Amino acid sequence: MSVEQINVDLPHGRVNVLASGSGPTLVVLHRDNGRFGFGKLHERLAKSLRVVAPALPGYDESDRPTWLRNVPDLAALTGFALDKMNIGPVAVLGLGFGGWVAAELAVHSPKRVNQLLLHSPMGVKPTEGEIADQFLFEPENYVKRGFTSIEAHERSFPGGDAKYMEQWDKNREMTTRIAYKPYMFDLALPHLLKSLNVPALVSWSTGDKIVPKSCATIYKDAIPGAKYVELPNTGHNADFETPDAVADMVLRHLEATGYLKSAGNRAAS
Amino acid sequence: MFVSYFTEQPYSPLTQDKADQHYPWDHPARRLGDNVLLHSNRFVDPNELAKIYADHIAEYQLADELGFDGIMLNEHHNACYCTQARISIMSTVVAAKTKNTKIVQLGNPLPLWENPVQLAEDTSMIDLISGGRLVAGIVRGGGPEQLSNNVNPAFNRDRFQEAHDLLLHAWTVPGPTRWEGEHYQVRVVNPWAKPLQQPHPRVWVPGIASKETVEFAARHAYPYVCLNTTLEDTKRIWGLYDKVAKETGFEAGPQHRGYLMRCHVADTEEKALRQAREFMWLAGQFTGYGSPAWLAPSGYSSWEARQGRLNLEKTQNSFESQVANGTIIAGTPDQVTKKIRWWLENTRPGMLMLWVYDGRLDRRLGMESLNLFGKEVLPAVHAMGKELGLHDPFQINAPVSWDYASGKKKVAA
Repeated sequence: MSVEQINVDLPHGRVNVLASGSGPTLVVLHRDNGRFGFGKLHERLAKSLRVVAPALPGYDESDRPTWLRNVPDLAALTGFALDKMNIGPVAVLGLGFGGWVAAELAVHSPKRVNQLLLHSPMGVKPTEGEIADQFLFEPENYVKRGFTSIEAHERSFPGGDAKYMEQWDKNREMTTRIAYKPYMFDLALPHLLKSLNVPALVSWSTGDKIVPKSCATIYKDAIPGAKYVELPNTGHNADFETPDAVADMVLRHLEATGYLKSAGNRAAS
Repeated sequence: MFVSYFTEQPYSPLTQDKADQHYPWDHPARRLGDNVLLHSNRFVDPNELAKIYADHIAEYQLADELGFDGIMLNEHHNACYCTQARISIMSTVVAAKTKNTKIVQLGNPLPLWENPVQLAEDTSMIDLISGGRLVAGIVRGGGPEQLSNNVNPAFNRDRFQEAHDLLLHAWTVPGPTRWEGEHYQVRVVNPWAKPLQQPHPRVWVPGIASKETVEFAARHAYPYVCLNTTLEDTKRIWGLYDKVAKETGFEAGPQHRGYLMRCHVADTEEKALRQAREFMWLAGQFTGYGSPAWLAPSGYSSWEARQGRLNLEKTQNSFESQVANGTIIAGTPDQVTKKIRWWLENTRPGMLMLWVYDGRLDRRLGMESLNLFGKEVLPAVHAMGKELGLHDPFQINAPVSWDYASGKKKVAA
């Protein structure tokens, strides 16, 4: 599969975007660990969609705006990058931390997002359980905690942790800059979500040791008409551990909501 | 020569096995042997801790009576190796319980303060209560301190710089004023607690490795105190300090150089060496054992600098090798005096902080060692300082900073 490398120049720095496929566009926002290329989930989805996967500003190959201090502003920059690519309104899939970014993008720029899909999203204060504090774990152990088994972790990140440490660590530094305190939630977000008027799918992995179920429940209850799905036998990093299961879930939802056949979004590709 | 007494105030009833086990209640991020941050405070017996504080306060009084020029105090959090969690509180106690000795804070962890004007108030009150005996040292605070206090490590250096500027402002600029900074915003800066020492208490900066912090100290002409560094590292630090001092416009001297030395004395060499082994308590990691993610959190410094620091942490030096390289000194008063002389001749500091004992050593033996040191070694060190021309800032009435030395700022009439 050929993957396009797109560099979007914003006044705040360059945003690196990987894109492939044709059809209606789906923007995929990655987890706090990083994007790590155009992975198996992206490839599966790109068979049915135009998949656009930016490295969030400050992460991976994208430039770091050193002034950035919070996630709503990160979402704003992500929105500007989509504008620059003439993408939108568009379906957005947010994974974990990327789910928080997607939700902020939707509530602050409702005209940019017409489908919101969130998997094990951070961004709200759990009513039961806690969002695992990554800053207490070694970077590699935090990533491992996102899988249901060490084997699943090693399949996703082959060749030993040392190969990925610098990237995990530098991405963690960016997360430190924007989500250290309060850790991984925005108290205003559940209130703002109530005014969303887009089809939404909230999902949660039953083996998630990073984000508790109550976060997903808060999103489901706050977004009017949101559907809720649980993914069995997979962890927080389900896009790495069980990419087919995530892809099937996403495609089923986009099919059911008519997005896969929506001609209007094809123009964005 | 300024000679100061220091102890970490460890929670000495903690046995090694209690640090080296996993427990059912452990946080999933705690690794075997980690003894900072997530090491459970279930091990603390408040009655024991009350006794530890009382014993150390008695030591500070004895050190004052013995003629130590200063008592060095510090603070750490969530740590068994240092039970002193509030430097201001112990400083206040020392101010009230002693008569002559300086209170040397090494140091106040600036970035941990959400409102540094409160630190200006604390330090001013201590200075007033002590009759102008405060040295208000400043530090960035280590990684575990950022996590313990939930302060963002990515902005640690920026907060250190801005908190320093605000502290100086609150001490010296007549109020009411307003502070609108990047990390600190204070509607009204107008503390009525103002320092007794004018223009402000002396500021000393302790550290172990950070190039930026050495440069910061030298640009301000603040004394830099090397925390038990090796001879090579100590010389490297002074070399950098001297270079920046020259660029700034002054010649650095002994009054800008401090050194923290682990130094135990007893009536026999064998006893001193046996007791000094307690410096290796918890494997001699005087900043505790912890996960690299705590000791050097992402953002605390650059990725490259943190790799260097972590490699340093991994370096395990045996007791014997530390005795051999002089980072631990132990012996009879005569032996110790000779070794101190060797350090003084080779590094020429004006301030010596003596870490007299540590670990699980019985406090009665600790007092015995302190007593012996005060009576037999301290006078010799003072005499050596004089002989070698190792003057401290008080002896030569050095300006408190380059701002005042250069005339950029003037002491109010």
